[in-house]
Amino acid sequence: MNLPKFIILLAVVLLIIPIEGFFGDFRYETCKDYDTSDVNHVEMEMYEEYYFVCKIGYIEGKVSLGWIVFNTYGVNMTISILNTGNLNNFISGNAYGFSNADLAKLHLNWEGLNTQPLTVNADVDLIGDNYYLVINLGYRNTFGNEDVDQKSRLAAHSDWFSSKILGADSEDIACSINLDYIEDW
Amino acid sequence: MELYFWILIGAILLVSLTILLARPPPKDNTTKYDYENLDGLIGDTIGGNPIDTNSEESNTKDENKEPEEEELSPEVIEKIERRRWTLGFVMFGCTFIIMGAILLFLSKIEFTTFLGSCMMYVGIIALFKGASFELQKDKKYTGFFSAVFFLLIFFINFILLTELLGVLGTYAWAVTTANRKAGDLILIYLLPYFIWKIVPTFGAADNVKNKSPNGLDFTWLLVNFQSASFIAISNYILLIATSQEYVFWPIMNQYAGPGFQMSLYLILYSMMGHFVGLIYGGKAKNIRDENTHETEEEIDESS
Repeated sequence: MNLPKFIILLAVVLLIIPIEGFFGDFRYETCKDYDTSDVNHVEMEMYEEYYFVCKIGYIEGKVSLGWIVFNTYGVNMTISILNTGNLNNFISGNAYGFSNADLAKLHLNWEGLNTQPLTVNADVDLIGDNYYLVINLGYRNTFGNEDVDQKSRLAAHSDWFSSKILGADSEDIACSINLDYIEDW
Repeated sequence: MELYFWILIGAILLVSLTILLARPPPKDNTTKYDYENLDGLIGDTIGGNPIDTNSEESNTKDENKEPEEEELSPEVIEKIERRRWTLGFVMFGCTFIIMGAILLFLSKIEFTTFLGSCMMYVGIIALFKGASFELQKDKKYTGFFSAVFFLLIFFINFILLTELLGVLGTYAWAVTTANRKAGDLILIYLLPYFIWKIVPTFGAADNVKNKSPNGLDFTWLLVNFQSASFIAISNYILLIATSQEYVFWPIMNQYAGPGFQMSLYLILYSMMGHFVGLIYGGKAKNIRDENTHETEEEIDESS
């Protein structure tokens, strides 16, 4: 491997690595668990009129599932927990919903609510799938089919660069999930 | 229960390591001929044919020669060795599978079920390894078959760990501890690699080529760029196929994401290794050039 080849390959790899960057397809941040006292930060500047997704992971069986959101600026948004199929539909602009009736209980429309932290929890019996916490900040308005404005790869990368590398100060929403496995249902 | 699984894995690795260390040292072809010392010697053969003068002597020598034992060529030795390993692995694999199946059939206790499953896991993996030895005996398409078998071992390993043993996919990635995440990734990616690589290979002579002349060998620290790229591409394909649900395999999707991310860092690491090699190699070349230049100058001055 000569030097020019090395530099080109390095640039390509550095372009692929960021999860929310140029080649960030289907790679999402991992949700932080409330039990670890850690949270995910949703920067308003980066996700305005868009959506934030973090991956909870593979769940099968009976669990106590929920989320905690610290919306100190009282931003209007909807919060849901979706499985892979519904998330794909949500992103692509197709009709989406909830794979489980109990998951629908975890959906919340934060409109006109106060700025206090909010917790929603429910005991659910889930079929084996990957689940995601989705915060919709104006990307979708209905559950039906609609036209969506997806970010271009370049825009996604520049947003990631200005937010994570340049570290621009921005208002943010903090969120985390609360997942506990139930031994005796 | 999982502790027992880890003990079994540790035992397999220990046995593999013993085999690796106990195998005979590779033949060093570099010491076969010392070309610098092979000065030519000219005998008094001018004017006569040495074959003619010694023809009678040689004929008698030929007649008196005792029939020597037929020496086996390295290829034949390798084939015999390969056959032994194949037989060993197949026998070992079959024994473990049968024992595991009997255990599963006879007992319903949780511990014996897990033990039986572990035995079947080890047996099936050993059987695949043994079969691969025999299928690669002609050394045709070795690289291609090696990749295919690695993928096969990877999938078999993953299916056995999830479906048979239930070691993976029991917790969501978000609530898994860092140690557990590392353990899971080792089981998925490193274990098939060890099963594939550390257990006897037949390319030992190739290792000699890469040894540095000063005796310090750091080549084992390097990660092959092509291998890292292969892992990354495979993971990316798996990630896309399972995320888009062309293949509905959510457990695989949970691990394909971190696996892909990890393989990207592996590529970066391998590139850094190559870069260091590039600089080190360049410096060494410069030093060599300088030395030759100085010696040439000294010779010019002395003449």
